[in-house]
Amino acid sequence: MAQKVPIKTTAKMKELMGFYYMMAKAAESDPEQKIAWITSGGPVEILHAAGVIPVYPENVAAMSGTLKISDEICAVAEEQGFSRDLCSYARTDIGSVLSGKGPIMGMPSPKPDFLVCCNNICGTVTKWYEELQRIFNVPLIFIDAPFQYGVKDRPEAIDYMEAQLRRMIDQVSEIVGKRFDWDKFMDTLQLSDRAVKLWREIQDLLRHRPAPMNSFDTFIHLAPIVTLRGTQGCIEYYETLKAEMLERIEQGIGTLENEEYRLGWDNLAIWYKIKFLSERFSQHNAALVVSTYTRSFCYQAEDRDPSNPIRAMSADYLAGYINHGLDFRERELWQMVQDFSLDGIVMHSNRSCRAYSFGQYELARAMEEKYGVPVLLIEADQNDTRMWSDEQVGNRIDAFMERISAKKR
Amino acid sequence: MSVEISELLKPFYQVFEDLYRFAKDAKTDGEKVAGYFCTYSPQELLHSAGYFPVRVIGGLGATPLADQWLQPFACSFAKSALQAGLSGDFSFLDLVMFSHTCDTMQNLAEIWRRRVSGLEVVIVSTPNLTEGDIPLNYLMKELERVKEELERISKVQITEDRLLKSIEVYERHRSNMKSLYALRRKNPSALNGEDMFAIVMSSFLMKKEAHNEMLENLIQSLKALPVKDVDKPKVLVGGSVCQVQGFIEAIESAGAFVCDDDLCMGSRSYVLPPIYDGNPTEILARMYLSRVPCPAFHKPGHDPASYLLDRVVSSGAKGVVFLQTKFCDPYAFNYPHLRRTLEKEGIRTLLIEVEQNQPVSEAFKTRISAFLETLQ
Amino acid sequence: MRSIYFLGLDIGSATAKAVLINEKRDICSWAVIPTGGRLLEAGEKVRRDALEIVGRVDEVHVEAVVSTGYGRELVRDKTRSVTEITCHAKGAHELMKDVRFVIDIGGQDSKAILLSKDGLVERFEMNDKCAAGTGRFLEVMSRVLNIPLEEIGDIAVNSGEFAKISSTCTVFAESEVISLLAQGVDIPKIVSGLCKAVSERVYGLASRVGVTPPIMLTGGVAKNRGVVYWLSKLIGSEIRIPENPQIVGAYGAALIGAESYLNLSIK
Repeated sequence: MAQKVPIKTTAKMKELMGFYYMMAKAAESDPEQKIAWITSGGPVEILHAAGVIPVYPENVAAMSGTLKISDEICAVAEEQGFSRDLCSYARTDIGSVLSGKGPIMGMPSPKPDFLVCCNNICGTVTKWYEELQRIFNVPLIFIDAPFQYGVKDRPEAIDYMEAQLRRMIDQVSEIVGKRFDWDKFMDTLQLSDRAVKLWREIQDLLRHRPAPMNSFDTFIHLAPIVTLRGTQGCIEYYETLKAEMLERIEQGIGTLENEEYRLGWDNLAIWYKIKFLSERFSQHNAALVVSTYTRSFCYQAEDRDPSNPIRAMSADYLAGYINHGLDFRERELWQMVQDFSLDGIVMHSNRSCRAYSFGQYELARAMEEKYGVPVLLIEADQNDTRMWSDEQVGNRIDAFMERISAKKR
Repeated sequence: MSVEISELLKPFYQVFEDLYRFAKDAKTDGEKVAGYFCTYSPQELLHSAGYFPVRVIGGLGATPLADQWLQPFACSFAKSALQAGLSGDFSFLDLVMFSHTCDTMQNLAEIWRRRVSGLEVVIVSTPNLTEGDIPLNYLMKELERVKEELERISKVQITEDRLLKSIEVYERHRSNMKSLYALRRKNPSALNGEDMFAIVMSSFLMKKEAHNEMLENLIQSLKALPVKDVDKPKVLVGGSVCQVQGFIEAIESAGAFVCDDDLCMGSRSYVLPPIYDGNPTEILARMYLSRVPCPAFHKPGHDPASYLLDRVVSSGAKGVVFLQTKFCDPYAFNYPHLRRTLEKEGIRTLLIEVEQNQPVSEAFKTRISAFLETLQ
Repeated sequence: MRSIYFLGLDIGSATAKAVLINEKRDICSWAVIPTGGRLLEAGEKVRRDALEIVGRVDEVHVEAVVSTGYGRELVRDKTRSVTEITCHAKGAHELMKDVRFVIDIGGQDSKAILLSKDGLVERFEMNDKCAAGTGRFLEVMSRVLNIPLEEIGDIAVNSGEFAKISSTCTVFAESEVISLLAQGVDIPKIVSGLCKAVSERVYGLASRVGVTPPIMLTGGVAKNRGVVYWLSKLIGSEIRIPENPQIVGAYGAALIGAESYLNLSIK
């Protein structure tokens, strides 16, 4: 294999994220500086506008998974009666709080002054944050984003979101004890909008053959859009990454010597097996070039009205892939197949995530039968290594790639 | 128990011979029948559109058809219901109604809509936040929308008058069920857990009008009984869905007395404050949001543990048996908090993981017996 | 004067155990036989085996028969049946009065029991849905590795090192073992890793109940030194093993029989 050209911006990301977590950790001992824990799909722009530092337990849990410390942390939550069948992010986070262990220099996330939970990613976060509220005894702001069963989002649901976001503004202002800075809020929304667009543009660059990076890279470069959305640093970071991708495209640099096959990925990353999966697919000259997971963080509502920012925000926070029914998901998957010239789709049937995983069998059938797109289902878990077997998954990947190559010939 | 009361109880047990006997008979007589998945579904709307609403309950046994569409980590309630749907067991239904609750039910509704043919599917976007005016307004609008959808499907106009009449029937039923729960507190020996379970299950599967009449006769006779406590250890059963007839029966045949429940197929569907004034959709929206929330919902200010503790204390239960349906996340997330709170108060608890499509196992009986041995 | 005896029968899924005690609560005889799937017959046989040790079967005067285990209801002419949770607690407390925690690893299930200072059951949990964390797991693996089950413990302890078995599913773990073999990993290391995997699973169960020393390990797997090593390491405390860990439940059953005969509280 040719020498792999590493992505230079990765170093910058480590720096950026390191700085962010150091700052957040430092804020823990500053009574003036409020910290809120927030779900990855939460309306964070309100927090930035109010000068609150957001911390993302999901991101911290994923880091624990990547560092392979999540099993022992989960065990602490399990000892307290949290079933092994529950989401491994929730178990990792609760276990981290209870044990005082975590991925930030061995420490858990800085303690929250309040919590913000939006159920646009799953119902699990509702229960997870209720437990956090019991542990920390701090206010919980809950934003109920109705699941959109149809392809078109309902205006009543957008009204409902808007009313809740407006109330959240009042709640946050009260907690912080300051009048809400609407100008700063509008600026934050613009920064967020810019970052979301950049993140989409970067992922769209992977349409190019050979793709300048792969989905396993995008899993890593996802961290800033999740945690720093709405900040200038996030934009600068993605501008650098985008420039590097354009440069790689110009120089014809891909992630494989010979990119023969292009695949899509569905569901969360398997954090503790990124290297294994990346290598296994590489052996077959297959590049993963798009994922519903990383694209989830760049959805914007179809008919949003930019002249009414809080309304557009209300619509955007309903608009994610995972907040939609199967007709929508099918449409998105088929669009991905066409836009990225995919030869197949890999679906991670993720034990932790019922919201994301139930319906995959149906989608897989639709892809295969309606559109003739081969689908591989991998049974695993985003953070819990105990559900994994190298041998079995490896075999399935090999068989799937044999099938795809036979089809292509 | 007097002969008269055991006679009065018999008709409630009829449902166990064939859960959908009443629904199928009605269908044969030319009526329309609607299945609903969760008691947050506005049955009053179905009723006023001319449907006989019955709760969807899955059966025992393997779920090979459902396994094609749901992963092994889906709960057995979802699987058994989908299995019944796919195998044509619900062919007597004209329509099914889903109400948004947990992630599993949300995706089940989608799979069902795309895979189970021959019946209409109506999905109600019930808010998962159940406190305050913001969700109330949303639910009122949603119920208006559902009403229109039902009118379109059924070609029956749901007038305000019709709807108010349906609300009255249902309100009378809730009030009867509440009286029964209250009566059990006052006179524990009046009804055992198995009887109560038969009453609850039949309440989901019979016409409310007929059930009302049966309940009112029963309550009258029960009120005449002398007040007497039971000499067996009293336990409360907690959980979400509980669709297997044998669970409560097995707990009682091991020597316990199930004096109360905190189940969704049980008291949680019936313990609500009386209705409010207002237009019918507002009445319905307020009522559904005022319920003791489903564990999948968030109700600021509601603590499921102190609610449960209250029930335990007021029912005189010595212990709590949690029937945790495997892969039911919302309840599993509550469990550690529930257990902590109860044990702090010296109330013993037992967790049993159950599958809603499997009969009572030996292991189940052993756990219950061992638990009762610790209560003595 | 004719002696009187009390018989405890523990009819488990893998083995049937019988313990005969006298009025002074001393163990007079005991027997263990494989069930072979025939609970009723095994119960009859193990009872005869135990009685024959003290005299002619029809002449031994058994005052009370208490049965426990999954087959407890099948035992004929039993005085009563009691669950294995209560019996293990009873037996363990009698053997060592200060024991607060009993872990029983049987053929098809495992249990963790927290005892009060007076030896009463405070809390318990059982695992029986999954073979991992039970004797069955090691049985399956001993077949995969072609090593007698009895030798697994010693091989593990002598290994010094262990191979990481991360999967808790028996089927997955089996494929992990096969792949470790294919990679040429030493068998003793794998064996040690397997004992660790069982221990981790049992430790998880025990933690949910709340491990409180002194701890006693009972059941057939208690004879496996590898599991004992890993379990005590995980718990961070010494684990006591009774002389005959398999018969603690049957012993507890016999004690309950004696106590109810002598009209004592069965607690």
